[in-house]
Amino acid sequence: MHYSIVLLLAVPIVGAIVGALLPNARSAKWWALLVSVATALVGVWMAAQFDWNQDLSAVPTSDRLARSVQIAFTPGFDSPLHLQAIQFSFSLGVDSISLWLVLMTVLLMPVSILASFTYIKERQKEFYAWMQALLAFMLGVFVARDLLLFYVCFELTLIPMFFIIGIWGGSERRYAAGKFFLFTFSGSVFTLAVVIFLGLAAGSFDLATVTQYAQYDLTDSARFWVFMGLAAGMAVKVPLFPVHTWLPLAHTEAPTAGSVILAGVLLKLGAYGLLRLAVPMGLIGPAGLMFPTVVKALAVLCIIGVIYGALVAWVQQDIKKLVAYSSVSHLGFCVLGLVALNDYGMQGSVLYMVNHGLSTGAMFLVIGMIYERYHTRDIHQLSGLAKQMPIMSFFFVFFTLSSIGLPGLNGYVSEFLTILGAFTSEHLGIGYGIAAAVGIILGAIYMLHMVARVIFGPLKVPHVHEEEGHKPLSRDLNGREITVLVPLAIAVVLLGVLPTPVLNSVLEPVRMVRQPVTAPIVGPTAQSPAEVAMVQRP
Amino acid sequence: MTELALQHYLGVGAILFVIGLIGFMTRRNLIVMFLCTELMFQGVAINLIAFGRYHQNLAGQAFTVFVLVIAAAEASLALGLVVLLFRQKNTLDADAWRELRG
Amino acid sequence: MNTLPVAIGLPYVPDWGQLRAFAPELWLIAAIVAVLLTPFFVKKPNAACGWVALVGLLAALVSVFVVGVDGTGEHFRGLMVADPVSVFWKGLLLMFVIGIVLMWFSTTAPTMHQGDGPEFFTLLLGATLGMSLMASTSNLLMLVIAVELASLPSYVLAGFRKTHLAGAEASLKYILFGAATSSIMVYGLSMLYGLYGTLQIDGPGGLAQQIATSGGSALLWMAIFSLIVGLGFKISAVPFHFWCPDVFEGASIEVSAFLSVASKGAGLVLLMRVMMSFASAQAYESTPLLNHLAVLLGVLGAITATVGNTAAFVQRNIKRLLAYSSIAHAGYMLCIVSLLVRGPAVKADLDLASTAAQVVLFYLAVYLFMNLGAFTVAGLIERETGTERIADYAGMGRRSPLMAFCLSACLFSLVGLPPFAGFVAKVNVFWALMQNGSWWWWLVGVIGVNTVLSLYYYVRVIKVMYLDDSSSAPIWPHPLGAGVAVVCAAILVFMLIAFGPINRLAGHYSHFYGVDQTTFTAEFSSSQPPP
Repeated sequence: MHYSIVLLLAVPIVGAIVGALLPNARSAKWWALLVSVATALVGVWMAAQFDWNQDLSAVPTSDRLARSVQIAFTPGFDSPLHLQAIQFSFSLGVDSISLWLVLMTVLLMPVSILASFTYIKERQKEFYAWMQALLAFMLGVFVARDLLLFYVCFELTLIPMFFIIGIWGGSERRYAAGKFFLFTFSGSVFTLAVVIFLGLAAGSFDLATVTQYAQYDLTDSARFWVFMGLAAGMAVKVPLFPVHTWLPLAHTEAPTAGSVILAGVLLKLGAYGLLRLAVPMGLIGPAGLMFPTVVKALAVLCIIGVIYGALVAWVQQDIKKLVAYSSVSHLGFCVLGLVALNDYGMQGSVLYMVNHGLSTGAMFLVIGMIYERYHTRDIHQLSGLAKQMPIMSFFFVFFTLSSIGLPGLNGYVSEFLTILGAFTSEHLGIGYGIAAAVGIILGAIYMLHMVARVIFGPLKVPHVHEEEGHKPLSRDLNGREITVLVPLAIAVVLLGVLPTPVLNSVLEPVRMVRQPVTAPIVGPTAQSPAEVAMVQRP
Repeated sequence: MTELALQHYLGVGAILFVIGLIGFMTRRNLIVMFLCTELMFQGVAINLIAFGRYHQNLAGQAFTVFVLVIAAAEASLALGLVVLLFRQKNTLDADAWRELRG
Repeated sequence: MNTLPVAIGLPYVPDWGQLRAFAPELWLIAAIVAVLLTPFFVKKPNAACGWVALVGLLAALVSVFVVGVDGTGEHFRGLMVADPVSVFWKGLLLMFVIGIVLMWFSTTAPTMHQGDGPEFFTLLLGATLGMSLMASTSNLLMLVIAVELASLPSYVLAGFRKTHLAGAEASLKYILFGAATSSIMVYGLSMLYGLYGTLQIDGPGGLAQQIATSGGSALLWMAIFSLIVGLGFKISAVPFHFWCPDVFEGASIEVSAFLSVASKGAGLVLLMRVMMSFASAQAYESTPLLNHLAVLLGVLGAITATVGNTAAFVQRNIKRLLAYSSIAHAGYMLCIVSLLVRGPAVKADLDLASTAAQVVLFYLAVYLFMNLGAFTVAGLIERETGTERIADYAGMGRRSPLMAFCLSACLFSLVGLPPFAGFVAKVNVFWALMQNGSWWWWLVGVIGVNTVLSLYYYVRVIKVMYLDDSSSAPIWPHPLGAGVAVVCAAILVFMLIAFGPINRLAGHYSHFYGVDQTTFTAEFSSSQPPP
């Protein structure tokens, strides 16, 4: 029995309930940190149990989808919905794709809680309780092996995030929270309809069963609508180009921890949903890829998102908003790699999810630290911070470079792979790759532009009135803040120089995503792990 | 003289009903409006009795008794309410009560 | 000249078994008598009447559990039937009215004029009696009596605050609409009687069978339309919904809550019973009649849901908002009734119809707690602050965290968001509607769009409570009412976790007497679930 996966959800849920009942804010803080660290340890324990070298080629093809889940948990009792034969079960499991995202989530959560210790000043108990609840729901999405459970967790993340933005956010928090909720919910209602349709038609909500059903028994028109419905919910969450408008506002208005989780994890829920549900259930038929035109359209949306996000980021005055728009651009790369539907692209895409979570999360943390000191994020009011805050400046530049994709840091590998994927993809091709590459250049321009203005140049900071009742923060980063950033920096470097374990471990799962479930797992661009490693070394 | 057949009774019932319905929709005097609903109920009663006779069973007549009782109960309630309302605004115009909207 | 046959014989005396099946109603009647007698023994009768009514309702609820489905069958010479559906509905209704009485204690009781209590509870119990009879009628005469027995006390309840101008206006509008629609309904029923010569709906020689064999005619359609007018008024289906928001706003809050669930639920159960009789009589022969009827109900439901949700957008008053929300929910349930009618035409048996009945029963069970909780919180806040305006709920998350939490739980559940039972209810609705197949997908789309619309106005209330600041003082709600609200919120969470058994329970009880008999007996003889 793999209790680790149950603990992974139970620890934060119990933590949230206990945390809400604690007597004072101080204990609530430390309790939240403790719970999130404990969850992280459970995550690490789970990773230790995982068989990273699993070879699925020995497993009979029809059974492969179910077996690819290694750590699995399905309780002994069943609770069928009893509408004729619908079977919903609380079944959990992870494969290597989920596991990397789980690890990223459990890493980001403690650091964002630690980063909130001085940032959140009112209604602290509630805040930390919501954060822990959010952690449980996000992990629930990644480990759900039941379609309905997936959807439930997916929706549940909305409620804590709504309150986190709405209560502890900036001046326009109410509008931002409402817009965030409405946009994501509108998309996911259609997802719900499709989820229920698939459950109804397949007679079960089990992911493996539904996937197999969707690939072999749907008519083409039904499959098209299934894809549209699933993609509707996920595209809003990612977000793809025309439905991204909630994102900059929500990111900017959210408190630092909210922005970190929003950019780091919630956006990945959308990408993960595309990977786990929309592509295998809606695009893949018995003969492989069904709708090349739809894929092309999706890729075009991604490219538009990449370029548009970058151009809009360039002209932002608010550095937090700038990073928010950069997320639109980066997630465009991520989904582009995904819809390239080949080994390079999809491996790169999974790695991109992790990398973007780390580096953008870290960017938001650093910006939050600046904001706590100067109460502004205006690019015109801040300048030359390197003179006053050398440690902060180091981290700022470091994560900026990681975000741009400097070779040796994490961003480079994933960006390179997604574009390579677009170049070599059967149905995309060189045009898409070139367009995306333009996005990289633009990305470097706007990020370096920001660094040049904020970190270097003559020192200029606004005069700050000291708040009453609170100890002023030290001029440069203090020990706690350095503790927050160091783990992320280590992860960034590690994934930069040693991405091979991630890439190799997700190779089989991503092939299974893009191939009909009963086909043998052979990539059209099959390659040995050694080759992969060679390609990725700069 | 032709003998009175079912359709004649039904005709009278229908005419009463329709007069009541039209009156209910067009008049704005509270008492007249309630009288109109009474008229509709009487149309129903004539219908039921005629059908009861036609089908040679007592169900129609039994139904009629209950319909009359219901009509009487509704009327007594309604008139009590009209008195209450009249005391408050001193008018019987239905349009005088329009506090609740939206 | 023919002479009418006159039945001469001993007066009809129902036997014990028949009375036993209607023990809940008998308890209600006993409670009404007891409430009327209370003022002779107690000086300040208001609270005493409340307790008497509570005891009577509890006794009736216990009798529901004790008798259960034992009394299933046709009683009183076919005037009434007892079957699992009616038992389920009576259980829900009595639980709900108990909640309403508790709510009365914590909201209106202190302000009610001393001496009005007996009248109030007589009317409340009388309406409850009518609503529980509505679920048990299979005869046109009994149908009219039950509907009127439910309606007449409701008219008075709506205007019970005699000094309150809005209450009188609400009552006026209610009774005007009510009298007109009920006379239209009775006119249509007289046509049904004229066409087929019987008042009995189901059974051999009943209306349903005769309609199945002789097919439709213009007069039949007129009769069906008028029946839908009459029941549509109780359900508050568009375009017979105009009374609903006004009455909810004008009436005192526990009356609004009572009407929001009990009146609509009873109307729906009655509609389901009639439609089930029609559908089962025509089972296995897909007739245009059923298809047309299903389209009619589906369109009515879609329009009702859409109108309810769009009108709720602009509401400033919490009671009006909940009124429009209740119209919208009635629309969702009407849509499901369309599946109930169409079921036999889709699958050539009554499985789908049973599924539809199950979905509606489950929905009602969930809806009951959502609405009771929401209205209770609104009533408590009104009592403490004297306001019904949503804008005045600002800062409620700080002023009364418990109440704000309960109201948010109920509202999220009304949207259909996890982790509340409303989610399961919504899933069931989608699930059921998809079974219709073919171009009926439009209905799924309409409900989906409506869900998004509804999110907006429900979340607006939550936003005001949690995100808007206010310097108003904290409020301390009445503990009894707070208890009701907390229990409702807890049940909503519990029902999500335990939805399997509860859904199964609704499935067990989704059988109508005289319909689908084989499945019904098989399922009940094999395993008797706890009621």
